[in-house]
Amino acid sequence: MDFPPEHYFQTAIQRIRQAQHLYNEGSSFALAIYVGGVAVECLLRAFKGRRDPTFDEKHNLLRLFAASGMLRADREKLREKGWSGDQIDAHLRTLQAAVNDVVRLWANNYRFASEERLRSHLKQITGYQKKLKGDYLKEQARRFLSSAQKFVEKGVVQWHV
Amino acid sequence: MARLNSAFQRKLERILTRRFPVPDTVKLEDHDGIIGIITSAGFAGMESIDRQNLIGDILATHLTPEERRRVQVIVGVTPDEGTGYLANED
Repeated sequence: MDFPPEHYFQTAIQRIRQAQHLYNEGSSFALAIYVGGVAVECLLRAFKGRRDPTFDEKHNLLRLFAASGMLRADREKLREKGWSGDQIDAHLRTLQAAVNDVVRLWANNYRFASEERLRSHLKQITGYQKKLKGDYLKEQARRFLSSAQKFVEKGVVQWHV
Repeated sequence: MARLNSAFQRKLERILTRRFPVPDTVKLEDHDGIIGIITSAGFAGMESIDRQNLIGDILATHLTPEERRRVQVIVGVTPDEGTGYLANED
């Protein structure tokens, strides 16, 4: 099945809503993290598809991020839309920070991970955050979804510039 | 990741390796602009925005504005985080 860029874009918005729903209503934190990552991947594929319809980055979000060209935002275009230089820099820095979070905390094979397995994995790789109170997986999911949401929101703004 | 293959990449690797010496690692690729991963235990306890600010400050100090535009994103991870991500590229 082929998906045009606009389809990936709309799906990114659907997936981030669904991820939030899983977090809020279903207590399905492992799946919420996975779906949140898929939302980011959909958005990257949307941007990439507008530049080049071939996909060879698989699920490597860092490479997809580069191929998407999102950080090659046309500064002149953004300025014409009334963005200041500081706003453009802040926009790009937010995208970079969100990507940093996604790269740290998401992998495509999370779709196979149970709640217990992902809780254990994230405790292992982010062991320096041992002081987190409450459900460790829930807190990591909250943080991850916050970054994914920010990324999608910034992407939606950039899509329409 | 791909081998470094440009003078700019080598320059950038030198700059970053000076700030993140062994046992830290710096891996860069050129995909229509530089992307990369710095793996350092020093990132433990830092939020992603702080990691990006740290890396951004290093780039701002050592690169010209034109060179900085050639860098798309360089992320910072701890050894445990980096191992998890890189082991699951596909």
